Amino acid sequence: MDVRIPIIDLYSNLVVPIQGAIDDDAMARLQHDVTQRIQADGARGLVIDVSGVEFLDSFMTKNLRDLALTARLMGVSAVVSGLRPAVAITLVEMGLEIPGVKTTLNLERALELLLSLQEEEARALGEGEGDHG
Amino acid sequence: MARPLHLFRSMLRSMTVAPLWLWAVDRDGRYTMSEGRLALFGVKPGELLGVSALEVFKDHHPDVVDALRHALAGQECRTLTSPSPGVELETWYVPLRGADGEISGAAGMATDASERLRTERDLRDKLEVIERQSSTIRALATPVIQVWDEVLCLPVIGIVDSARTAEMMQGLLESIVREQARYAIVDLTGVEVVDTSTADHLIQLFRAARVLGVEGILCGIRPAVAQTVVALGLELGSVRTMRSLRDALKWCIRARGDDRAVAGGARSSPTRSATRL
Amino acid sequence: MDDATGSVLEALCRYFPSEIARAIHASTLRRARLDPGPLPEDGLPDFVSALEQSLPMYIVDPARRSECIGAVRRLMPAYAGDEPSEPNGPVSAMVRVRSAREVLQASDTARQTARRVGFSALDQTKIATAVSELARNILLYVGDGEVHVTVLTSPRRGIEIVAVDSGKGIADVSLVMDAGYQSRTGMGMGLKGTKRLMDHLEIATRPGAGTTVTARKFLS
Repeated sequence: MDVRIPIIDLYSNLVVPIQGAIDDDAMARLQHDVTQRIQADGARGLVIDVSGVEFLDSFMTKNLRDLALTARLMGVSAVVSGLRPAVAITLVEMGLEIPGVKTTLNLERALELLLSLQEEEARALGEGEGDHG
Repeated sequence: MARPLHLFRSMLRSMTVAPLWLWAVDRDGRYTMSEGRLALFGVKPGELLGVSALEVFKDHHPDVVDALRHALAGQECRTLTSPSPGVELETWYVPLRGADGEISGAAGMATDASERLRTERDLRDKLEVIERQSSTIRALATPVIQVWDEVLCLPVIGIVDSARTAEMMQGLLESIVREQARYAIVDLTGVEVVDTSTADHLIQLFRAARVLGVEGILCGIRPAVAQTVVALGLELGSVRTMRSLRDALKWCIRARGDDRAVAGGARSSPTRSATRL
Repeated sequence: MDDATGSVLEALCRYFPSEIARAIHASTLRRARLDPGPLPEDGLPDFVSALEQSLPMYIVDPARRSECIGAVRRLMPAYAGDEPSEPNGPVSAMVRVRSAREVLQASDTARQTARRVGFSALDQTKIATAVSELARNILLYVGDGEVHVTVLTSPRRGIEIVAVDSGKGIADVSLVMDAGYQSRTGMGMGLKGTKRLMDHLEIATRPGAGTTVTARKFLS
């Protein structure tokens, strides 16, 4: 069970593709690796892609949320992409939507979203306005 | 082996009704018997005796030759052939053995299967039509229509029970994924009555759509439905509501930034300003 | 056996008159985009899929329908991968839960069983999620327990999950099932959420005597 979840660099965003069911150790290692990479690479966005995940229970969802919030604390916007319809329906029935974390249909939309958020942020900072998304 | 054939022969001579052709060939495939409603099969009485079946069928019916060879090698088989348009022949081939157990020839029966096959074919065609209609009906019952680029609409009609809701939800979400929609409009114009569980299901629908990153819009809520929702104390929360499908669509178009005429009022949607990667 | 047609027709003839069985066979071949003529054994999975789609039209009773599909499905050669080696599979399976890996195993077993029973992909996901929740609860609260997965045939075809542990028990069951309760993971509605995924869910617990959660879901 020595599977390391890959972290891919894409235009100053980090993409984490999760396949199948991840065991707890792999998740803990991922959290560690992601935070290290954020610090080392200066990434500005994080996409956690779950298109390869067949189901999410409350524990797994919490892990994803923790990962996203950890990144947020380090100043990185995080998006979860690729939730399958069956998984989406199940999460909703269990009341497990992740508040505060954006979810998108797929990786492409996630990157679009991150890019526009980053542009907005840059504009806001550049114009001296304090309000940003 | 000769006696049963003899019996058959006598039986056939007295049966004038059944469209059967009984035949037998020797070890070399030459006809030793050919009885029955031969005219049906385009055969004249006595025409085939002594003739090699393998030769007769060589050019146009290789499957018959094949079956004969199999039968002469000891294997029972069956063919379906069409000697003339509209006529289907079903033929059984049986090996014949002499007293010593060695193969002495083959015999068989051919019957006109045209009627039966036609019935089967009709039945199958009808079933296919019904199947197609049935899936059309099912699709009509839970239709998801693409009304604009990346905008889907689900018109809800009548009473929504839990079985239909599950189907609706699946259908809508799968369409969202397939069409890569960004907006989903649920039109309740056709819904006159709403109870707690229906409302609950609709809310689930919107939440699931949101999880997929899609903006959900509810439109066409009738006065009675609106009053029920409020009276039941249901939380429609962050679901955007509009008066009509037309309004909802206009909103989506504007949100996508497609409506350039509305200069100052147009919200530049984040998704539009993204650069192509 | 090269041509499975004979055995398929035989199976179908147990449910339909022979002409209809033959017509269904032919139209299913068409629907599965298989060539008319002999049906090779490796075409059976596609055939079964196509049959599953059209059969609801011919057999209204879901139990009888599952039986018919099951009869045809049993003709398929067993294939390796994530299907159990016997085409029918065990009626009941048990997974001991003492680690995160076994939580996964429990939910995997449940999903495979659900697929065998004939549940839709969505229901398979719900069942796998529910089992994962229950098994995870055992792990988090007690550390050791068992998850039993059983195929149900009455009143309808379905699946039964029994999650057992011999921990301290739940002091206040009504509290745990209340919508406002937050599970230990801090997210979601805990058992109440799991209950929504299944058709029935019961908890039997006594302080100091462990907990047994029984959940059932039936084919609709």
